[in-house]
Amino acid sequence: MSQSILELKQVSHSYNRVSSIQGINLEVQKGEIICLLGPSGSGKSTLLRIIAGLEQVSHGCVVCSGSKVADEKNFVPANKRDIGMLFQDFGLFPHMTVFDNVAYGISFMSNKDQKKRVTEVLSQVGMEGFCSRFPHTLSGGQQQRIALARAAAPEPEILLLDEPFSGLDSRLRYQLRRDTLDFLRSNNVASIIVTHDPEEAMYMADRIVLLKEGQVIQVGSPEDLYFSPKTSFVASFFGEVNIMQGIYHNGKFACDLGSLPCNKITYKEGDRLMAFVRYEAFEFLGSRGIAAPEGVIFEATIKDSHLIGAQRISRLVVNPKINPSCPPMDIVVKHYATKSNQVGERILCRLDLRHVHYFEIQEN
Amino acid sequence: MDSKGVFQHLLNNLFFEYVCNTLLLFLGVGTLSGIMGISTAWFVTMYSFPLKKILEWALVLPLAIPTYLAAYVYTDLLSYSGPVQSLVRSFLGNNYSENLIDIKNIGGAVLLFSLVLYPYVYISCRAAFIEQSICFIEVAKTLGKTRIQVFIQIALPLARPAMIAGLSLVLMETIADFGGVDYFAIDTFTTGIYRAWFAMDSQVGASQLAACLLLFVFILIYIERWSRRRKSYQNTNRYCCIDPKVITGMKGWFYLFIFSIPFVGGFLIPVVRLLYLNFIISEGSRVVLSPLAWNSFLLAITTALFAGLISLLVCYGCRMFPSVIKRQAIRFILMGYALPGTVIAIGVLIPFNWLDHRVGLSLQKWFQTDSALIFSGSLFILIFAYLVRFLSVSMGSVEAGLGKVGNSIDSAAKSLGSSSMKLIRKIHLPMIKASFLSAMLMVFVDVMKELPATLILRPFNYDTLAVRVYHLASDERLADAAAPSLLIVVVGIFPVIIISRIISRARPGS
Repeated sequence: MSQSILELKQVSHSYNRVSSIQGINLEVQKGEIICLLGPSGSGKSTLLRIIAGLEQVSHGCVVCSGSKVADEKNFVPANKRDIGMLFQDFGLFPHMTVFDNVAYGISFMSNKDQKKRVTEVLSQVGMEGFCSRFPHTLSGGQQQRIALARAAAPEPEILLLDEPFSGLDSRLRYQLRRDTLDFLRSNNVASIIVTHDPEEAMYMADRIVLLKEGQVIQVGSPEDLYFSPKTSFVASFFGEVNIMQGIYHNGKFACDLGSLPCNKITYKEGDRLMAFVRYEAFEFLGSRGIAAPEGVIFEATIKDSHLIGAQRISRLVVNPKINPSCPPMDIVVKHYATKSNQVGERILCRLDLRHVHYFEIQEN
Repeated sequence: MDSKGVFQHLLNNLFFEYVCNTLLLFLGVGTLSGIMGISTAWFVTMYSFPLKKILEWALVLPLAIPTYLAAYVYTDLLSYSGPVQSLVRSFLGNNYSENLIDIKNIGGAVLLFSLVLYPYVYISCRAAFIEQSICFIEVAKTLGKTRIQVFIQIALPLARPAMIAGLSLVLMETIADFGGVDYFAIDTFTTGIYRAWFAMDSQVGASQLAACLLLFVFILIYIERWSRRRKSYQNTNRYCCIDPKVITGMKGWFYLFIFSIPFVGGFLIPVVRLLYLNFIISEGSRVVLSPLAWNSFLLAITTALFAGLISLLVCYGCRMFPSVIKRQAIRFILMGYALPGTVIAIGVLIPFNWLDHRVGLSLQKWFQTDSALIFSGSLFILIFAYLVRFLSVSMGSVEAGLGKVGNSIDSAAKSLGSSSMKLIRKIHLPMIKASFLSAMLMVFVDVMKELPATLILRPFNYDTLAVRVYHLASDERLADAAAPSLLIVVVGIFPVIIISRIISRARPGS
């Protein structure tokens, strides 16, 4: 794979002897968009700073466009690497105009070329008319665009984006995600985006690298991580889940919702498993039911129901199937609204098995 | 000479010189202390080298040396009979008898003032570098810039408001200095005012000069205010790890040597010389310290107490019942620090003289007794003048401390049914105790060091440490002045330690 722009081999790092990143391997191809995803403290920002050259590795090496930029002994500082970085707080120089900010990284060009490039990159982010403005007169979204333009102006091999949308309100975030994605695609630049928002990662990324406590838990496309989570951590990180315990028996998983098909051959008869059932795994069939029910269907009573937009979040009470003497259990579902959403109503519910993931119960 | 004549004389013969000397001092001290303060601040922030932790706070220590002490000590050190010239002569041979070094001129004053005043710039610039510029350094690095480029293109422009704020403090101290320029026989406004008052016995002349000096002060205040106006650009609260570049080996020691020059010149040499004078030379002819120290202490502690209480009262008044007039009044109080001691002395003497006169007349009329000078001849007027000058110091500290107690805390306490008194006693006092104490300590030390106002306003034969040092130095008895001088320096070190602790705590992420 000579095409790869960036290669991390067994990269480790520690702050004051406390390990923050352990043995991370990653290859990034030209034009690829990678998301480093993980909860806070997972080491994703540190990894980004290592790639940028703002942090040194304690083990392993970083290879940029075929040349080694960091290992245990050698270190090429940020200003000598071919990278651009968008910081979380944007870091626009407050004493410089928008033009000067964007031109700051390309001062090696002639004035004419600088002007041309600044105009070009500003028009790409839709900020042509703002050259002589100062950063503090701009809104958060505008500042983000300028910062992106500034990072991209020197046409770096790799663009690093550290939580690029975290400071912005949610409505603006959607628009900026789309615009930023368009920008990255049209420049065909390899990009690494740090985020803690799984939805954002799935929206932006070609590949997601999920980190936890300094280690890679799973790498793959958004579909891989969402539909085939390797661990219970991955499954629960990508959305709220109901957790159900049960037993593997004859190719099925017997739990309080009923007997669910489970065709993973690695399980043995009688294994205790837990199923992570996503909130969005359920579909309301109405109270009267349908002619030819397919899949796993069960009956439940609506305990409460809240509209959150196109969908509702409801709590259902289900009578346990395995051990009917147990008290009824609550499950939470996220579903599209049907006519019947009255509290106390009995309804039929269908379970979409693509959203059910089984894991062995860890002994601890 | 009548008063009009005195002013005419001042205007014709001396005014131009006053203006020139003051401006030259301004320019010289501003430039030199600026260079020293900024370079040391940047170096200490951005590099890691041997003994860095010590140098970091040692660079603040020269603030403990009053300008007049620096002038006395260096004159003594570099005089014809002083150790430096004696040493040089011993190399060149005894027949070499020319005076090699003359420090008693404007150049000397510029150098010495800069050596003891640069910490104002150092402190403010260091805070600016830590709080603001550092965050942008990483940004600039990812855009391909080196440390030097970052310094010139980002750090300096961003630190400019802080730099100006620090420099304006330096210049206020410069303009207020009396002891130093008096000893060097440089005619400036402060010495002019003193001379007009005492030598020419002209109240009007002195006041007219004081009014001219005020013009300079107002310009400084205006510049300082203006510099603050743009301070609130953009606040970044990202965790910024300062990643100082490590310099080791000979290069590290060389840098340490270069950047410790301001500390060595501004603190170490004067203190060592004073210690030497006190313990080796002046053995035997000791000045009796205790009454002087007692006088100074009494004045300082009384003023500090009043200043603390008044600050608390004023700040609370403003917090509980805010109004535009009160805010303006506070701004007015805060200007006091910019006023030179000589100006304040003249400013309070004239009204209190008048008051004493009226009181005397009334007493004579109604009780047929003569009155003493109740206000202008007592410690009252001295403490009053100190308060005018130093109230801003304690106000600043108390205000900052109270500012940290958020309004939501007040609201929370009130919603829990706490009365105003209980709020102050249980919530505010414990929270602002530290800043209240440090406010009083700052005033205490400033009063201990104060010279010109004390000199003018003190009751007859009432000597303080600073006044005695001034007289002894004027009589060229520096060895005898060493003990009181050392005492002033020792007391002055306390607030310096507090200040440096405040800056080290202000660093994000530590």
